[in-house]
This record gives sequence, structure tokens and C-alpha cells, in this order.
Amino acid sequence: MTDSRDPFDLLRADLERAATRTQPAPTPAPRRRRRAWRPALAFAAVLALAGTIVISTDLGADGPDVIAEAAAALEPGDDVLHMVLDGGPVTRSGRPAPEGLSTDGGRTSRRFTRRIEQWSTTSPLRFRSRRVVIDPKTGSRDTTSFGLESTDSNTGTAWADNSWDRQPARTSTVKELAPYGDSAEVGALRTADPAAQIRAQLKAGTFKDNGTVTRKGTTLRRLVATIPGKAADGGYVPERRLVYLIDADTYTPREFETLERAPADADVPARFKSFAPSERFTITTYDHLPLDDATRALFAVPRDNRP
Amino acid sequence: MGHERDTDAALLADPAAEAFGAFYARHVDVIGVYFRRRAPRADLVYALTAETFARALARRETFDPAKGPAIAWLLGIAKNLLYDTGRQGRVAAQTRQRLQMQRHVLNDEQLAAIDERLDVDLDRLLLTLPPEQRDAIRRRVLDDQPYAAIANDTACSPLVARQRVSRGLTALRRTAKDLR
Repeated sequence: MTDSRDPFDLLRADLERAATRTQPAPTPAPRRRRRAWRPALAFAAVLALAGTIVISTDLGADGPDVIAEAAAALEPGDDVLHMVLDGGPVTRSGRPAPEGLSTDGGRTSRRFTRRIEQWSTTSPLRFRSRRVVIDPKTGSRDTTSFGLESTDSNTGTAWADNSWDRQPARTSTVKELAPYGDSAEVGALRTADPAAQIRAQLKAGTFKDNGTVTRKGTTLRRLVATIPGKAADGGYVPERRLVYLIDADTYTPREFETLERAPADADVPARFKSFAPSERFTITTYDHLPLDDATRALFAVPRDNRP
Repeated sequence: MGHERDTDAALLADPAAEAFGAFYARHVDVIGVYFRRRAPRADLVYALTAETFARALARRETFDPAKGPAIAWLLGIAKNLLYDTGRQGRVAAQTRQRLQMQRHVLNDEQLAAIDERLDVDLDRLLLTLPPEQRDAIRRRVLDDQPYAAIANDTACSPLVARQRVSRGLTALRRTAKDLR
């Protein structure tokens, strides 16, 4: 088709026609009725997935300090804390976010398998994380590896080794990294170490015991932390709610989810002001490995990638 | 018409066709210049730009302003499209097809108009910005660094890093428009 108008004007006209075609049909009455039972349906689905939910916050005066126990369980020591976490960013509707691998441009039709495997120890202070995203349709893998080495746990000097298997290797430097437990504050690490934000908030005392839930016959304790947000010119820092599930008996980490919403005074549409999930993880492996030559090798950062 | 003062988030949340048109008009130059630096021919630049905005239209409800400005979201779509194009050896068109958008065969004058409009020296444009905004844009848009990492490296808060990127891109857009 030939049209001699300015090509960018042609494109705008095309897009506006397409936008008109994709507008939702204005059928407010039935939609309102449907909305009325949608939360109940969603709740039923959650019940079906989760099994029986029992909210009970009464631990008794002599009960264990759940927050302290949970913090201790996430703290690496002289051995190597090894965890595998399945999951990652999700859209507001809870579906896996379309990032990590490029998609066909439409809505996410493929369920990417995202996995983060991480090892950490405090003697010496070391952390390594490997993220793998697998496209189940093509089998292609997108691997990111972060290796961090700190020479001093107080000053927290550190390096991040960030290598992609489908792009030229590149190195980024993280300067003045806070001590290990606070690595949630360093954005490059938040995606590499999802447990870090949980650890930091446990230490800060932000988490509250919110009772128990049952998953497939296992009782899990539910810890919830709310971190305030802030509106600002040109954007906002979202209010975040961290929901952390741990085994009620052993304090082993099992699941955690981050939900976000815009602050009440942010200049954004109302739909952004209710909590929606932003990331979700299931911890499929949690164990302690001995610190020996084999595990020590996991923490070696290639010298070429040091600043 | 009447959308000049709307935020990008408001434009994307608005189902009206002209709202998306206004969003397109606001960002088409940055996306076009981005592709012009990476694609050898004007027809490819045009196809890549068209598919990028088609993808943005198809998934506009997934834009979350908490994760950064809309231009960064758009550039993310553009980068994925470039990757797809390199892998497949052609510019993907399925989103435009699904949206039933027209396929235009551009004549020589139109191709020349694209070249002329997008013939912008991005490095020179960046030099017009204050150093902190220039640095924040380079890190966020060109190097994909998270806001928290930028903040950490430049001794500011993530919120300030976000503002620097947002304000710098707004200034760039105005400058690019003035140069046309």
C-alpha cells in the first residue's frame, strides 16, 4: 500500500486505529456483576492451592522468638548456605513477567522456568548467585552469574561479575557495597539474591508474625513486613509488602512474595494503588554444605573481572 | 488533543485511541533514533519502530510506573525486538498483524524523510544535559543498570536516580524536537 504522507504520521494513524479496535467493549452492568464474585473465586482458588488456611497469631508468652529463628536460618555461617529458588518477577496479575528472554511480542504465552541458585558463607565473606531462565518451548537458556567477593565486611568493598551467555561478557563494579546482610539495598544484587531483602528486614525487625498457613499438610508460619513508599515528582517509590513463609518447626524458608502498590498521594491511576504481586519465589533447596576446596571454588571471582 | 499534560502512565491507562497516539508522538523520536544507530536502512528502522509501538500497544496494561519511566519500558521492548530480529534475520511483524495494522511500502521521499528526521547525534544531544542526568541515562538506558545500582555508584537515592533519568529523557525529547 502506497501513501505519500509522512511515514511517522501514517504509523500514528495506524496505531490509533489499532487502539480503537482493541478497546474493551463498554458493558458496565454485567462487568460490575462479574467483579462482585471475582474476589470470591480468586479466594477459592487460593484455598484450593494452599489447602487449609488457619490464621493464628497467638504463640503464647513462652513461644520461641520466630523472627530471630527465621533470621538465624537465613544467616550463612562458617559453612556454606546453599539455596535454590524457583520463581521471579511477576506481572500485576501474578503471571510470570515477560522478561529474561525476549518473547514473540504478545502477552506472555510461555511459562519461563526461572531459577536462582546461590551459595553464601561468612568465613570469609562470600556470595555467589547463578540465575537461569529456561524457555520451555525452545529450550534456550539465559544465564546470569553474579559472583561477589568482599575483602572487608565492614567497608564492604565488592565486585560483581556479571556474564551473559548470549551477550559479550561485561563486568560491572559495585562500589562501597554495604555489609553482606544489607545487600538488599544494592539493586544489582536484589535480583541475584532475593533472600537478601528478607534477611535485611528480619534484622531490622520489620517482619511481624502473621499466624500460620497449611501447604499440602505442612504447617508454615507466615511473616509479613510492610515497607513504606513515597510519592515524588515524576514517579514514586512503591510501598512494599513482603510475605515470607517458613516451616513452623524448623524455620526452613519455603516461599516468599513481594507485593507493591503506589502511595496514596502518587499521581498515577487508581489501579496502581492496591497491592499487586511483583515477585514470587519458592525455595526448593535449602541446605548447609561444608566449606572445603570444592565449595570454596564456587566463590572465586575471575581476576579479569576485578576492577 | 489535550493530552500534553498527561503523564505517560495516564496515557497508557487511557483506552482512548488518541491517548496512545499522543504517547507515540511523545516517544517516537527517541525510539527511532535508538534504531537508527543500530539498523543500516531507513525501511528497517521504520519497521522496527512500528513493531515496537505495536507491542507497546498490545501490552500497555503491563506498564508499571513503579519500575521506571515509560521510555525505559519502551526501550526494553525495542531491545527485545532487536534481539529477535538478529536471531530470526528479519523484523518480526506478528504484533502488527494481530492488530491488523497496515503494511506500508515507503517511497524514496519517505525513506529520505525518515533519515532526515532521525539524523540526530545522540552523543552530542547527551552533552546538552547536566552531567548527572547524562550519566544516569547512559547507565539506565544504554547499560540496563538498575536504579539502586546507579544510586549506589553516584551517591544518591534510587528516587533521585529515577528522577535524573526521567528529567534527562524529557529534556532530550524537547531538544531533539527543537533540532528538527
